[in-house]
Amino acid sequence: MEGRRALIGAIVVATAGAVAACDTRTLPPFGQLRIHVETDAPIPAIVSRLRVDVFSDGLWIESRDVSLRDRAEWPASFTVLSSETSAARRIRVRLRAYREGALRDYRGERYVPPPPPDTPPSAEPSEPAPSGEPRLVMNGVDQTPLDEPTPEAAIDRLVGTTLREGDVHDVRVVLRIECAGTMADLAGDRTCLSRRGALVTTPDAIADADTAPSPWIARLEEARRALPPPRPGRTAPDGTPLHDDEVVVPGGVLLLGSREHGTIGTVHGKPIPATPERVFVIPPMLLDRFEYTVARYRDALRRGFTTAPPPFVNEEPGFDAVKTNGLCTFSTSPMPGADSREEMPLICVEWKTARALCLFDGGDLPTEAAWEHAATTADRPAKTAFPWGDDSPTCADAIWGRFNEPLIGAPCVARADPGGVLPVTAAPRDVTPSGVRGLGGMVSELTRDAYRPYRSGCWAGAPLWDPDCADDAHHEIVLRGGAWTMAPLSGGAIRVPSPRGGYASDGGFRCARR
Amino acid sequence: MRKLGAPLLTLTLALVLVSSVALADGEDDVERARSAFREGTELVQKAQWAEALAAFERARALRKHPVTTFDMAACERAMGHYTRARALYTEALDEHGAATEAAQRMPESLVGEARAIVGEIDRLLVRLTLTVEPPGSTLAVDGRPLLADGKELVAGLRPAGPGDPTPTGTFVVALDPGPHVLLFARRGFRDVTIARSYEAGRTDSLRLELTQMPATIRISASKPGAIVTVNGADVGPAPVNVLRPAGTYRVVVRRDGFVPYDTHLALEPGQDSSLRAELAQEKPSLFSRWWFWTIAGVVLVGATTTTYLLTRPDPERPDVDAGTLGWKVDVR
Repeated sequence: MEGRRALIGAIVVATAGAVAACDTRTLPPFGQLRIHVETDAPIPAIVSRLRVDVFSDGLWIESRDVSLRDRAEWPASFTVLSSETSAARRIRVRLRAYREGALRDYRGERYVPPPPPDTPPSAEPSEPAPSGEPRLVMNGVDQTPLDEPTPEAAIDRLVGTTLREGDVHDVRVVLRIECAGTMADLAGDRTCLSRRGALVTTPDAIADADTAPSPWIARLEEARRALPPPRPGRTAPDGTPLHDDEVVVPGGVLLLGSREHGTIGTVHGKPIPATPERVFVIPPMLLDRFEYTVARYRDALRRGFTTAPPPFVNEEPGFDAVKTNGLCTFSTSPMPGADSREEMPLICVEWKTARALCLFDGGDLPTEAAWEHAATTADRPAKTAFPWGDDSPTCADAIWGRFNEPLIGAPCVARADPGGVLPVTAAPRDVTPSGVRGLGGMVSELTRDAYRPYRSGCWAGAPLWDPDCADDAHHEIVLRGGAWTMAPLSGGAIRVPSPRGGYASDGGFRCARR
Repeated sequence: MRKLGAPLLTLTLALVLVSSVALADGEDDVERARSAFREGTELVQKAQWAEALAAFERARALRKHPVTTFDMAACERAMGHYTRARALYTEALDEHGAATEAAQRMPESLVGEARAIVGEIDRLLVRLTLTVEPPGSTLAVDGRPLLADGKELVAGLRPAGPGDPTPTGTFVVALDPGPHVLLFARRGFRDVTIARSYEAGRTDSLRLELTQMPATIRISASKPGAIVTVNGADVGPAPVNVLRPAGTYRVVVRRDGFVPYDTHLALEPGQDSSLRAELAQEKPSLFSRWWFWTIAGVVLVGATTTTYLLTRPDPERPDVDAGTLGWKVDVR
């Protein structure tokens, strides 16, 4: 009897096991796409947040915005699935990586296509009229976000596929800074993959391997290796230092412009903004440690420099704001002794002469982007307002506040002091981590670029690598950085447009070389 | 050598008294009683105590008199039967005390002598203090049961026969000095026999524990080759004799093709029990049919399958990996 009971039990167990094993009613997985998002942008300097918008069959169905300030949080991944098993679902996922705070009001999709190659540099694209569409309606409630990333500094990418029951795919998407500023065309289902300004039909995510490394990274390395050795400082025959030594400014990614530190004064009645911010890659360069000095100009003359027009001449010792050219630094002969202005910046010089002097020494005026990179970003983990950091300067930190306004005086000099520049070695705290002196104050510095608003076609269509808006025919040039005349001293993102043929007693220059 | 004391003088005195009194009653019985008494007296002088005792007993049977009883006690005493002698002396005193006529009494000298002899005999007797386990075991001394006399049991007073159950706990046995055989017995237990000689006046204590005798089961079967088990232990093929201590046992007799014989036996110590197992032919059961198990198997498989199909859980899909953001969007 015991044996029979055991036999009965064995039959039941074996039967149950066999039936369960033969039960092939396991359901296939829902159609799903796992998206792994990576970026080649510096984190958090250029990218610190990710906006994800999901569209299904053209309807906006989901939106999420997450903070990803740490490199360790990348790649970030999530899954889009369809529990609809009777039909395939076509989905689009819009990924936008951007820097914290770089937002604008959402007024509907305001797609601005990349400027065509023949776009005039001065052209400023007009924004489409806000339509308010599309809207994100969830469970009958409008949950459309109130803002969206500003397109000029965001890396915008569409990912799409069709979800079918049983299909599970993983896709790696690299949000490249090459595509920063190139808006995805949501309505046209086009997106930038790897080339600025180039939109292609959104590829099927399953087929998009997207594993190519960003070329600018290797290019930076090559450019660094190709740099010649920096020039050491020389002295004049009388032993006066020329202060013509160079420093290596490493290349990197620059967020050109500034939402916080971008406006001073007006140009023709219009405020001078430093927005929209744009992302570029600045190659490494050799940059003059100091502003171009009077002694260095005199040395160039000895070596045969003859380009006209020459800088304006101040034959009197010291400075006199009332006299014509009374604040200029060059004199026909060096001022003797304590009145020597040989080690002061060469000012009162036209842009053309300044550039010619740089070219004479094998360099050029730095581009506006290169100048801002050196002053605010190079050798730093995050962009700073001033060369030394974000702290507003004191009179000892930089050369500023030396112009006695008739009514209000000057913060950094006595009332009767005529002000003016100082030797380039003044204000040792006005120095960048790379070792460049005087980018914060002393004189605003001439750059290679013509002045164009950042919204202009020149900047909108500028390439990722080493951008410029050089236009020798344009009547305005742009100086960068603060000067001895400014009070308060503005940050490194300040842009000072100036007539090309003009000169200024608070405008100088330095040279860059690659 | 037994001490005889003063019986001759007493006997003589006891004779006169009897003669003077006998003529007053029935002459035949009295004459025969007198004749027997006279015979006894003559035999006492020849020291033929047993024959004298018999003559005195015939006389007493015809005509009871305390002197005759006294003389009987004297004979027993002379033969060393002290317990009997004490009993007869005590009886003589009782008869003397109960007599309503002077002719029926003993002379006072005999009374005093009887009392003294009773006390002397008391000091001569052997006394054994006994404890016997289990209680209720019987005791016979020299083949005779004991007589309960007050606080003690007295040996030698009763006719030959099996012993009586002993009292519970400790009791005292009075014996004549000399060799004796004590036999303790209880059904189901092994007898205990003590043969010992005791000197006059000896006292002794004894504790006895009777051991149980095993019971015997004689098991046989109606069919040859049947195997016997007792309480599950195989004791071999029937017929078989099995010895076991007292208790209850399960006896099973089996043979292939026959219904097992299964019974219980309660055994007493020393019991001899016979058991015959009548084995009945076994009818083939349903559970031994092949087609039964085939049908049962089919039904079982069908029921199992149906139950599974009705109660199995709904199929599930694989979990969706929500990635590092812990986010999964269903576009449905």
